[in-house]
Amino acid sequence: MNRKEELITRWIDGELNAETREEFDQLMADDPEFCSRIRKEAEGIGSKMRSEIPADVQPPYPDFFNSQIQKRIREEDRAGAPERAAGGISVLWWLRSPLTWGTAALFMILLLSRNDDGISGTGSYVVSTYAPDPGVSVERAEYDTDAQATVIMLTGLERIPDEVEVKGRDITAYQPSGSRGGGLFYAGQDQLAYVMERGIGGVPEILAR
Amino acid sequence: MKRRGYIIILFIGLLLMHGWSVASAQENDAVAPGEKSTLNTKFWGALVHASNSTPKKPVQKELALRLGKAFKQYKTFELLGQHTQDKVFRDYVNWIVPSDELNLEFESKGPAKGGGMKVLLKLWQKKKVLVKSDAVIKPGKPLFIAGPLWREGRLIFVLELRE
Repeated sequence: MNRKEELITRWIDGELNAETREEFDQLMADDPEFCSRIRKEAEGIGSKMRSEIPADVQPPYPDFFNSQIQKRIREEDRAGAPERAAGGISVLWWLRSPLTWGTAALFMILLLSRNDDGISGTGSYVVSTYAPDPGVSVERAEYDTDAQATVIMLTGLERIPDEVEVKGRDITAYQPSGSRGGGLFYAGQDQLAYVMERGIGGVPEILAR
Repeated sequence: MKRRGYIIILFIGLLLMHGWSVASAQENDAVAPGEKSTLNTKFWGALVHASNSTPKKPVQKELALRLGKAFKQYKTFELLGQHTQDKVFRDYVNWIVPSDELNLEFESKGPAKGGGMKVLLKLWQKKKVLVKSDAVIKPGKPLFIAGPLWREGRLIFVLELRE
């Protein structure tokens, strides 16, 4: 095998290092005819292989191929074992950390407090609140244990002018009418107090009183 | 440190799952639309004016005490109107003490797991919805919604479930 053949063999095997790569490139540049012939031969070999071996043929010895991959994985696992062992010690150390147990305790407190004040407790509670007007916000929506009541406190509300008379009646019965949320309000024995309808956008409107 | 972070995230995840399961349980507590509440209860609602002046028609003493604890800046509570409703059907709209200025709309969403009634509330000021809220009201534990300021005080809606 001469130097040219050796370089070509190394190129085909993918074993060119930086030094031999430079030598091989120089060889290709000095002898373009040789380069062209080699390329044609390489392409010919590729075409012949593709024509002789169908694409759907299983590679030879697939079990061996798989076993080699598994062997490689096992070897890499063994190489990483000391690092994981160190991690195991770290987990033990972590379990001894006060922060861990503090977090666990906080979790349990939250779990139990939710049961006490919420679903199975004695107080009423707010599940969700939403103020559609961006100028209005819900300052507070919670069960007040002192007052034994749920309080929703809004801020940013438009003040009702003093000259407006806000007054209601003592309603003893309400009879829904229609499907839009209107109805008849009674005060006392069959005494009609209000007739309510809903306008555009569901706005409540008192039609008669 | 990285593992610690993972475990904290795990705890938070478990907490969220717990909240979700509770919410799902409530949602699955189904009652057919229009069916009367299985609790033999009635709603009582009131529109109250909280202030520091002498009221013409004060609310009941026990309610006044509770309102005083919830809204400490006010000492007196005047009853402007009240409403007793003993037939509250699921998914029907009900109103508390209607007026031209302020209206509280509520729909019963059926009995809540653990007692009480699930309600959907909307507080209107004229044509504007001030707040929407999902809440659970239990007998003897009223809901107070603090509305707009009026004269020298504030308007408050009270909604209570009575057995």
